Amino acid sequence: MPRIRMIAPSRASGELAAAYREVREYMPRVGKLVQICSVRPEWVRLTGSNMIFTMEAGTLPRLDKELLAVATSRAGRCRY
Amino acid sequence: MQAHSVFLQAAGMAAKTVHALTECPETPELTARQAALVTFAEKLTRSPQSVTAADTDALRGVLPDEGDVIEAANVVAGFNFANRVADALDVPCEVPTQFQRHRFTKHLVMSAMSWAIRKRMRLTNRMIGATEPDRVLRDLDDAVRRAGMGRLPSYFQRLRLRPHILEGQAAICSSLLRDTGFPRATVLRISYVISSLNRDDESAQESAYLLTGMRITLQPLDAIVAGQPTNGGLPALLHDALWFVRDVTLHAEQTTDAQVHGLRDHGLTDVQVLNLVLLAASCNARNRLNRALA
Repeated sequence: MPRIRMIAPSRASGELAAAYREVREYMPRVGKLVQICSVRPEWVRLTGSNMIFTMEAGTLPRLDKELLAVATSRAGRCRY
Repeated sequence: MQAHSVFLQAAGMAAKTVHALTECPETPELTARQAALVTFAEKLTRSPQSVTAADTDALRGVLPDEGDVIEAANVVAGFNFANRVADALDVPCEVPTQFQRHRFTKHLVMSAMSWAIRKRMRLTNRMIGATEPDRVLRDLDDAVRRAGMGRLPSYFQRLRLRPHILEGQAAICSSLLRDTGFPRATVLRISYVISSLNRDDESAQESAYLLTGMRITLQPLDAIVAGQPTNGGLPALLHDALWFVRDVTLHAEQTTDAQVHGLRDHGLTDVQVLNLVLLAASCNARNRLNRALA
């Protein structure tokens, strides 16, 4: 159960719905990590776009980036 | 970790190797290059205070150029941010809990999700246009000074080699400078506590300098960093908020509903709780970039 209000894309309206639409242009599905920022639509956009900057741009192979992500999450004992 | 494991499998790593990695990071299933990446990610995440130039040099030994080193450090910093947000706000897992009870069904669901990701998502790098670094740095420097937050951390200059990363970092930083909903002194206290815990001396000293200039004593903050009682030196909300960001820094996965309820009892709204978590998570990410790159 999230600790703050989380508005799903299907229930969003106004600025939040617009933010979700922007994220969907480059992600097939809006993950819950993006949805948790729904009380601040600006952060829905920032979280989505930063995921692209971090994982999809540059020259380091995607496999290496995903490996770093898993190793980081394991080291931080992340539950997500 | 499950969410990211699905992506690693989708990116081409065999399910057996992904499983071995999640069980033990020293698994012999990894190549020497992969093992070096894992070692770097583990150290920068678990003990940023002990990361030295030698650790980044070890990464340079397995990556072809400095731009790739910056990208690797940015992934580790980015997931230190994302994982803290997920744990501090108890974001539900992407793999539904009913499928997690049995190893076999969990494996099946994760494989199906990986397949769907491969089908629907782009898993190769692409060119992304970015604003000219001088302009980004100039605008960000102005914003930091206008907000009374001192100087930009040194690592920002190193990001010039990867303008898209610089632009992404600058957008996050600008948003937090513009609109946290907390007084400047609170933001500086948060930065001081977290940067001290992570031993990002440059950031801790900058915050200390600005706080001292505002005649704010560091003693209760140092007590929180050391995990000692503060003996009533702080208002209740500030006290609880600083202990919360300390916990988000050291073990976000152990933060509790009760802590967030406590913050609400002091009058914090959902937006303010989110802002507090974003501040804490982004400071942790910045500290790691500074330790690895500055």
